[in-house]
Amino acid sequence: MAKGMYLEHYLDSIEGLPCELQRNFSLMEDLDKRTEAKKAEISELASEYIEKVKNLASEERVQHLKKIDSAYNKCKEFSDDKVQLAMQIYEMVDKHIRRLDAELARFENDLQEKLDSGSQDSSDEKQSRKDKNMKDKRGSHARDKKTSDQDSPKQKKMKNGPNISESLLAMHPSDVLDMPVDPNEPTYCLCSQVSYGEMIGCDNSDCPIEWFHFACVGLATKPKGKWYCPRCTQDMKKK
Amino acid sequence: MRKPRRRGGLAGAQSDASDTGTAAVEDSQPRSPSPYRLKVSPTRETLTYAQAQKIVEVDLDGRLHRISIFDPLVVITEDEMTAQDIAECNSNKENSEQTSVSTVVSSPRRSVANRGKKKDVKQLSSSQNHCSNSHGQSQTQSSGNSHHGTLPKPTFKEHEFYEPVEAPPRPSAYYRYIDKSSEDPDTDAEYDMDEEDVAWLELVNEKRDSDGQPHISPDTFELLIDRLEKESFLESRSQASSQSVIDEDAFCCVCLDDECLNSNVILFCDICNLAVHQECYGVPYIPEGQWLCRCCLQSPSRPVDCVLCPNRGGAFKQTSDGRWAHVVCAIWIPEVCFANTVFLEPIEGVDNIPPARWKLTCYLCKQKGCGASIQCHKANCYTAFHVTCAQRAGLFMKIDPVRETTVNGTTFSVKKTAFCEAHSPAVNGSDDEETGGRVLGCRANRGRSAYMQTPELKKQKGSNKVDSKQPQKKGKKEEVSKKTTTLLVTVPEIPAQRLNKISKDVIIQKKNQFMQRLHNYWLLKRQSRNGVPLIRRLHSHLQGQRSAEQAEPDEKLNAVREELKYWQKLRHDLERARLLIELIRKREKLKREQVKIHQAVTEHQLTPVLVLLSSTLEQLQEKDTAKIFAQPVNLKEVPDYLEFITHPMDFSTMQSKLEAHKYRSVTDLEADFNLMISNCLLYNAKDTVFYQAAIRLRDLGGAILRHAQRQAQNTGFDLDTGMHLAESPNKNDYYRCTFEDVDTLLDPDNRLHMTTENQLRELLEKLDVVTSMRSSGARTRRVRLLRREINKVRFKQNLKNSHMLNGDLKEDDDEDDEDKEMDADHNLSSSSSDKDDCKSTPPPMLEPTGLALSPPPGDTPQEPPTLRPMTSDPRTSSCGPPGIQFEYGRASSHIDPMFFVRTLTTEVSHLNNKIIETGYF
Repeated sequence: MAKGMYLEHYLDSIEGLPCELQRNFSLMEDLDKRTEAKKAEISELASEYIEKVKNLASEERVQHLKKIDSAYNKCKEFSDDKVQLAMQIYEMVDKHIRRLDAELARFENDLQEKLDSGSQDSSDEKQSRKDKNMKDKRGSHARDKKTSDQDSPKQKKMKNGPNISESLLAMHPSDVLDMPVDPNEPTYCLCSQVSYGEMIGCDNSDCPIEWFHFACVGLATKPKGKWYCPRCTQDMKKK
Repeated sequence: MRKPRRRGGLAGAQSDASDTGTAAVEDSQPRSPSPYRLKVSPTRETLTYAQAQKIVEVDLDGRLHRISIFDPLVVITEDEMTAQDIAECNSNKENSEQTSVSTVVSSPRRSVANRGKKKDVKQLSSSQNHCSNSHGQSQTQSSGNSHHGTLPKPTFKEHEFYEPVEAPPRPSAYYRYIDKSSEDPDTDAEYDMDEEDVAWLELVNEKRDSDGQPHISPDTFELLIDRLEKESFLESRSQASSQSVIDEDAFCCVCLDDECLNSNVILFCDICNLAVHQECYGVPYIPEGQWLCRCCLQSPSRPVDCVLCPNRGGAFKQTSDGRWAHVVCAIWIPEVCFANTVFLEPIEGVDNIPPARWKLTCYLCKQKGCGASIQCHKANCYTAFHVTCAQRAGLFMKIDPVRETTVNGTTFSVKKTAFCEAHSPAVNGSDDEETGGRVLGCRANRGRSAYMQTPELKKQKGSNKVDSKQPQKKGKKEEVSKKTTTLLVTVPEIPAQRLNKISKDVIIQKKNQFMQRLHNYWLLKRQSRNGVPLIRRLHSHLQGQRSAEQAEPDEKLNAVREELKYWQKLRHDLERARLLIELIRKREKLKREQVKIHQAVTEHQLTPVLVLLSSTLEQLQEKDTAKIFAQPVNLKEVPDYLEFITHPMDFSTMQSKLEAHKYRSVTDLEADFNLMISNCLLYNAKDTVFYQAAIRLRDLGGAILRHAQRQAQNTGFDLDTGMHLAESPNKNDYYRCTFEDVDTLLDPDNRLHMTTENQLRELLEKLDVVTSMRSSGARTRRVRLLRREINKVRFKQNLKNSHMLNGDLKEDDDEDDEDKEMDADHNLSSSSSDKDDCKSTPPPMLEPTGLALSPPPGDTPQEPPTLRPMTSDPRTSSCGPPGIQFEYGRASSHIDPMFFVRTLTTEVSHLNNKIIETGYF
C-alpha cells in the first residue's frame, strides 16, 4: 500500500527520537548536577563570608562576594543552557508530531478517496443493509417514496460517510482530544488552565506565563505585530 | 424432565409454560358424571399475595399445580387417574406438546400448608405411578364408575405455641433480564434443548445404556451444541460468503410496490429472501426473530409450483387441498379466494375455476393447459394471460378499492382491472409513473412494474419459459434456495481439529463416537432449519455481520483500522511526550528563576546594607532625569572646576564607592549625595539649569534618603559588617501620624523649643508622611502648609548662617543644604567673581545673589524652591541668557502658583508611591 510507504518513512524518522531524547536529557541532567554543585559551593562561600566578615577588609569582602557572584553567574549560565536544551527538545518532538499529523491527514485523505470511489458499489450494499434491517423486522421505518427520493442524496452524504470512513476516521481527532486527562498537564494563561483552543504567546521572552487563551485576554483574532500579556505590559509601563 | 419448550412464536403467546401449567383439581361436587372436571389453575401472575398465601403449589411431573387450600380433594383410583390424565393431556396445550412423554401422575397431595397450624396430613390417596406411553390406548375409562378405597384416618395434632415463620423479605427488585455481553457467553451454553433433542438424546442414551456406558446429560448436550453453533458461526464469519444480496429497491412481489409503511412493512423471508408486504402476504403481526415464507416453512427442500400459472418464484400460499399457488394469482383469478382474509390462507376455490379458464392460452408464455389465465378487461378483447406473466411483462394491472353500498350496508371491495398490452391505457400508465401515484393498496402498479422490468425479471424470471428448460426463470427463489442449500452444507462444516477442541471441554466415555453422532445430528438439524443458526442471538448477529461485511471487505477494513489505531497510539504517545517536555521546559525556566532569586537572597543576607544603598542610589539616579550628575564633571571642559570644588562627586563615583564597600550606612551615602548637590549649587549660578536641577534633586533625593534611613533603622544593620543585626530593632511606625500632629507642628509656637535644624527635620518628616497619605483635600492643604513652614525654617536658618558667615560646608549639618546653598551663593556674590557655567552650553552668567536674598524673611512665604525659581527677581529675565533662562522666566511668569503646588504634590505622591513600592524590606 502506498500509504503504508510514507508512514513507513515516518517510522524510520521517528526511530531516532528516543535516543535523541535520552541524549538530551542526560545532557540536561549533567548540567543540573553542575548547577547543584555550584549552589552548594555558593552556600559554603556564603557561610564562610558570614563567619569571617568581621575580620575582612572591604577589599577582601569584595573579593569574596565576587567569587559568589561568579558562581551565580555560572549557575545562571547552566540554567540558561538547560532552558535552551528543553526548548530544543520540545521543538524536536513538536516537529515529529506535526509531521505525523500531516501524514495522518494524508492517510485519511487517501482512505477517503478510496472509499468514495468504492462508494458507488457499496451504496447498493448499504441500502441492502437497510433492507436487511427491515427484514430483521426491527427497522420498520417508513419509507415514503417521494421523500426518500429527495432525501437519498443527502442521506447518502451523511450516512455513507459515517458508515465506514468516518466511523473509522472520526476516531482520530476526537481521540487526541479524548486523551485521558493528564493531571500534570502544563497550565497556562491567567486562568491557570490547560491549553485549549487558540492560544497566543507573549512576546516578552521572560514572561512567566508565556501562553494565553484568546478568550482570557480578550482577543478574537490574532493581533498584528508584537503582543504582550497584561502582566508584562504592566511591568513594562512601570519601567 | 426438562422444562417444556415453547413452541413457535404464536403458540408461545402463553407466556411462561412452567408457570401456566394446568392442574387437575377435583371439583367441589364430589360426583360428576364425567369423572373430574378440569380446572385450570390460576397463573402466578394473576394471584394476589393474599391469594397466593392460600394456594398450595404442587410440582407434579414437571408441571406446577396450584391448589387452593380450601378446595376439597377427592380420592381417586388408578383407573380414574388414567382417564383424568388423558383428558388433561388433551385439554392442555402444553401437555399436548409433549407427545411422547411418559406422564407420571401422582395423586395430588395436600402437603403441609403454609398456615402451619392445621398441619393436616390428609393423605387423600395413595399415589400410583402410571405410565402411559400412548394416549390412544386409554380412552376406555371415561365413565366414572370408580371403586373407592377406604379412606385412611387423618391424624393431626395442634401446636399450641406456633409462631408462623416470617415471610422472607421480598427482593427489592424483581428479576431483570440482563442481556449477556458478547464476551461471557463462552462460559455457559446458550442453547436450549427442544423436544427433538430430548428424543434424540434419549435414543442415544438407550444405546449407550445397552453398551454399558454412562448417560450423556442434557447439560452436556446443550453445551456441545452451543459450541458447535459458535464454531460454525465463527467459521461462517470467516468465510464471509456473501449470502443473499438484497437489492435496496426491494419491492413486494405481490403488489410490485416498494412502499414501506410502518403499518405495512416489507418482510423478507429469511431463507429465500422473498420480499412481501405484511398485508400482501397476510402477516398481520411481525413475528419476533426469523420469518419464513410459507413455502420455505413448509416445503423447504422442493421448490413449489403454482397451480394457477407456470411461473415459479414469488409469494406462495397453500391451497386448501395442499397444493401451492401464488398469492397474486389467487388475488386476480376471480373464482379463487382466501379462506382467511387476514392471513390470506389457505387459497380456496381452485376447483371452482371453470374449465374454460384452464383452457385459455397465455399470450405471453404461449403455454397451453398450464394454469389458469385471466383476460383483458377490455370488452371484446379475449387476450388471455397468466397473472404472473402479466406482472412480469408489466401489463397494466390495477386494483381499485370500491365502496359499495348495498342493502346490507356498506361493503368494501376491490375492482381489479388488467389489460393486455394492446389495450393498456398508456397515458394513464405514464401518469401513474410520473406522479408515482399510488393506488390505494396498490397491488399492481403498472407503471412501477414496467419500470421495474429487471428486478421483476429476476423474480419472475422463470415464468414463461418453464418449458424451455432454462431455469433462469426459476428466478431468485430458485437461485436463492440453491444458494442456501449449498450454504447449508458449507456453513456448518467444522474442521475435525476444532471438533476435537470442542469435545475437550467435556468428559464422556466413547467420546469420538458420540461426537460424530452429535455432529451429524447437528448438521441434519441445521439443514432441516435451512441453515439458520440454532441460537437466535447468533442468527441475528450473523445477519448484521453479513451486511457489514458486504459493505466493505472486512479484513481490509480491519487492517486499515488496525493501522490507524496504531498511528493514533503513536500520536498519543508523542503527545504525551510533548506535554512532558513542555513541563520540563517550564521546570527549567522556574529553576532559572530560582537561581536568580537565590542570588538576590544571598545578597540580601550577606550585604543587606549594600542592597539598600544600591537601591537608594538607583532611585536617586532615576530622579536625575537629565543625567547631569551621572558622570564626574569633565575637567577638560571646565578646567577651573577644581578651583572651587575640592571634592567632586557624582553618581558613578558613588556607585563605584558603593561597590567597593566604602559606604557603611545610609548616612555615608547621604553625605556624598549632599556633597554632590552642594558642589553643583556652589559652582553654578542660581538661574542655571544645573542649579535648578540640583535644587530639585535635593528635594526629591532628600525624601528618598530619609526613607532609606528609616528603613535602615527599622531593619537594623550592623554597620560594621554591613549585615543584619542579630535581632531586629523595635519597629517605629514612621507613617503613623494624624493631621492633628501635623497641625500642632505647623504652629510655629509649638516648635519654639526646637532648634531650627530639628524643626526642619520634623517638618520634612511630616511632609513625607503627609504626602504618603491618601490624596484628599485636607492632605493637599497640609502639604502646602508644611512646605511653607519648611521654607520659612530654611530661610531662618539661612539668615542665621549668613550671619555666622560660615563657609565650611563640610561641617554643616546635612539638613541645611538650603542654607549651604545660600551660603555658597552669598560667598560667590561676595567674591563677585564671574563664574562660567561650565556644564552647559549656554553662556555662563552671574547671578547677583544679593538680590536673590533681598526679600526680607517672612514677607512672602516662599514656595518650594524647586518650582518657584527666580520669578521673584524681575531682573533675571531681563539680564538672563536668551536661551533656557528666558524660557524659564517666561514660562514661570505665566504659570499660576497653584499649578506648581498641584504638580508638586502629584510629583511627591508619585515619588512616595515609588518609595513604598520599592521598599520591600
